[in-house]
Amino acid sequence: MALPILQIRDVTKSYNTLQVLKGISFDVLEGTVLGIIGASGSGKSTLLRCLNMLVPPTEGDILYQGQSVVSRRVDGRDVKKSERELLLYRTQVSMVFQSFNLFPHMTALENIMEAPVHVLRRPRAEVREEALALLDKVRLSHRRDQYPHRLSGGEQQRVAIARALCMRPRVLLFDEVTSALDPELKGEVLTVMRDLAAEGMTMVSVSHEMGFIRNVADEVVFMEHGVIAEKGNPKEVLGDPQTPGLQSFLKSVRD
Amino acid sequence: MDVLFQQWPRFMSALWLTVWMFTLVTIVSTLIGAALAILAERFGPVLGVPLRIYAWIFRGVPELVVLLICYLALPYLGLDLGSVGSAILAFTLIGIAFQSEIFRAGLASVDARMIEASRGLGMGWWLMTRRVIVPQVLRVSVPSWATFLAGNVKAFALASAVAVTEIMTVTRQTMAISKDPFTLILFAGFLYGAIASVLMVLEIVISRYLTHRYGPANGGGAA
Repeated sequence: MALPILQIRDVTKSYNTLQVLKGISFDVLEGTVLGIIGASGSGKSTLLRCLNMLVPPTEGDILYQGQSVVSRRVDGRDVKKSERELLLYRTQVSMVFQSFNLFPHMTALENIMEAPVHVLRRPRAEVREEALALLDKVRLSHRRDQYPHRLSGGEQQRVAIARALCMRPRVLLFDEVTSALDPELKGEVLTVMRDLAAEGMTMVSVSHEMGFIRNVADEVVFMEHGVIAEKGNPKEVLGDPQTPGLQSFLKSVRD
Repeated sequence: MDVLFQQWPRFMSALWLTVWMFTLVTIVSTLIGAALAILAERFGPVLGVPLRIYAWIFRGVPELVVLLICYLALPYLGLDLGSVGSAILAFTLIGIAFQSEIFRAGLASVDARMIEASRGLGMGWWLMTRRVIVPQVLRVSVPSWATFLAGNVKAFALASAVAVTEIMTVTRQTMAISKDPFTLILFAGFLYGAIASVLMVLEIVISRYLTHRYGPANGGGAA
């Protein structure tokens, strides 16, 4: 039985009076793929940013390997963790973004090596070996010295995945990573993600790729208006939607 | 022409004075202006608002007024820097105002998604500023930085008003003993033009280097 690597407990997130997340709870089991689907504005990107604390939740708790990443106990009180304390956690739960967000002044290889060398302070030569291997894994060895603007969207996103992997994270978060790509470029990114899933990488993926969710995800969460409306095995949930919200969402995605 | 050859050493020492004053002022005001802009970004309105007010004043008041205040008024407050010293102070104060605005605009142009990506990779503020933000700001800011300097170096002619023996001072003194003011004025214009040209060439060289080192500007747009 796999253990929960991430436990999300009654997480809410409010911006002033706007409550984006209204009490979310679920577990992410080690070595599994969790898909998050939902219409835009349902709070799924915010939820993903809560998972690696780019956006700290307003209430609730997130446990990583059983330990709270939101706060720590000091003299019996819960104190919110500072940005500094969160930095190390973020290297463990790494995010891939919709718009790639590669550093424009660094080549593909430099982008991948940057954080392992300067954040994790690993030896440059060793990181370089690993970065080259990762570039090979995402089939971009021949593009290693190119700046991002010289790469196609699909290539940029594969570099971004390699950059996240070079941190040796325990969990990878994907935020609609194929949404900004032309249809013919989505496939190469999804293939990389499928390979990672097959290797047993723990992944949480916000996605509109229903095929990927159905075939690769172990569990799917459907979000609507800041709550989880449906959750379960993707084939069952997508095949037999129970709520009107999911029914109309699936219809809109298929059209 | 004779008088030009006769006064040549004075012109050269005036040129040298202008060049080193300008270089010193540029280095100091660029470093302080850039640092203040970065710190204002970091600490928000606490530093940002006073900095904006400072920049507003020193960008608004004529250089000559700032020069005269530093030269004539500061001695009453017990701070007598002499002519060269007060000119350096005045142009540094003005330079900081412009440089902080140039770098503030450069910082504002950095894509917020780069900051999110940096945080997502566990980079702290200083590491992110040094490795991600500053290289991108440099590429954006070099043209406006060089444009300001090319204009600023000509304002140094105003230092003649506070008895600094820079190029314009020597030109005017020489004109008083010459029958050929036209040549002298042309020569003074040539000297300022030469300094400004060096700056413009420098901009091209720096931009090329930054493009070579960090890739072309605006290379960060999504595909």
